[in-house]
Amino acid sequence: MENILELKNVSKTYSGNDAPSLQNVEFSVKEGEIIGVIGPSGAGKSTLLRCINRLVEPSEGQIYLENKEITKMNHKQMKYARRRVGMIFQHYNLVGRLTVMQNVMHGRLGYMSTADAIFGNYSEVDKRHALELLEMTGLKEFRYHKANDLSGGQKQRVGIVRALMQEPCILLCDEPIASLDPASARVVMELIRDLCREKQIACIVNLHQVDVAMEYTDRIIGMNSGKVVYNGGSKELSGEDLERIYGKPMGELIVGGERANA
Amino acid sequence: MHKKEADKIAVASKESKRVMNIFLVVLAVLFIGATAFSKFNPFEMLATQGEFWRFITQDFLLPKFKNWGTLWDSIAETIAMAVGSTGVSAVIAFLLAFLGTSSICRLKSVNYVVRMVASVLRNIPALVWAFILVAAFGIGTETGVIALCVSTVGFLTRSFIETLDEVAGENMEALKSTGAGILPVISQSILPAALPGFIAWFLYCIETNIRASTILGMVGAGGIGLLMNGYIKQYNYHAASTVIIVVAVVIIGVNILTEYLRKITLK
Repeated sequence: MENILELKNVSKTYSGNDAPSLQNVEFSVKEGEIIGVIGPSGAGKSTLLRCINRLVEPSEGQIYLENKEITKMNHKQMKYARRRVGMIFQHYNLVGRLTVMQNVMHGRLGYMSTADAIFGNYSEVDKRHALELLEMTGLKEFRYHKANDLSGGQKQRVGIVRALMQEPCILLCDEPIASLDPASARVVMELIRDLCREKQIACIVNLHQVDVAMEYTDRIIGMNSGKVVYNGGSKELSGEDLERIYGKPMGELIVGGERANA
Repeated sequence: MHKKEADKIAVASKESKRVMNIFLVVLAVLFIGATAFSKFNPFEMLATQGEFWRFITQDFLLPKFKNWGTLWDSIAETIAMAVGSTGVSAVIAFLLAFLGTSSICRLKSVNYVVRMVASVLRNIPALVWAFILVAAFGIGTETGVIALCVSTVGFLTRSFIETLDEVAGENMEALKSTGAGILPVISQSILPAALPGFIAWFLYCIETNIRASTILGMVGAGGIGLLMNGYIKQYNYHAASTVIIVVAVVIIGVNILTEYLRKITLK
């Protein structure tokens, strides 16, 4: 399988901040591969995701998406490239006053002419596709509800469908379950995993829960202070690795002693 | 007793208690100072009550009025001034707001200029603008409308910018990440999200402008204020009181209407 994404020596230092948020980050992602990114708050997980679709400009290094160097692209080329990168947010980032259907259709805006996009003239083919995806995610009956009226788990599913409408080759998920209760979190993680498997979409998920990362991902990237300190199979992650990632002894990392020790 | 006092557990820091005490002392000193400076005597107000009530009951009330036609025309004129100027201002402010918010217009210098101009326009009251414009354009409704527009554009631009800033962050990022251009992002995400805020500010301005246009009339900018001022200058207090009562009723009616509109639009 070929690499869908490749990061080479990527660094990011925000202006007015001495310590770099990302430091020489290097890794690649294969087609359909699901990757969990873990690390303490402020380790650079969000910055990493936003560098990949250049919502945040990397200061140094190259990023290749589907073998094209996106770090060299101009504004317009970048817009085209972004269509292939779906993004899912902790706070869902839906337009609360619009219906589920309208929010989902936003995933198509990048493919439409400016005039059609401004007036929201979505094609019937796209709308039919949206209905299919809403059916698959159990949201079809809510299609004309306002996004504000949905529960957190439902909102996140709308976010997932919106991202899938872009027909992405990769999904970037920024703490997708951090605001959800455990049951909804499970539904959302399963949905992300199953849809990515089925459609051969690669996926990078930022997570705070190590157990979730180990259960749902193929590979884990551990970050600390902007550096990748672990990059390997999610089943092989050891206690020592976790201590390195979180910079704390194991005893302080376990809440309630529930986590299965790897 | 004193020992018990010392044993009490404080729930706030001594520092914040001290700040509070200083604040109260400063407030008291300011009140006394201001009262002395303005020679305002609260007891005098009570003592002169008799004269005041005589004026209200004898000279002012009961309302007596004949020129109802003129009154309705003036009321209509005042409402038209308020609604017209708010409408025009909203369109101008709508466009300016996009230039004034850094989340949409990236040119910091443009943001700055728009905000500066809006602040200047807003912070000079419509009444002052009316004074200046009456001197320049003469007496009339147009002058009133322009005066209201100037201050309302300033106010609404600032308010619209705040509304946009509030909704832009998350919504912007989500749609930008789909590869959508800035115009579709604005029309499909920012505008729907900002609309309730825009409508609320717009209705608020209609309310304040009805009140303001009443006062503007008194300096010659047309409408009901002009009529009222005329009666007061002729010592025709019974007619003036009629006008004042009608104005109050109209303003209350408009407030009820905007409250209702707010309820149905913000759902």
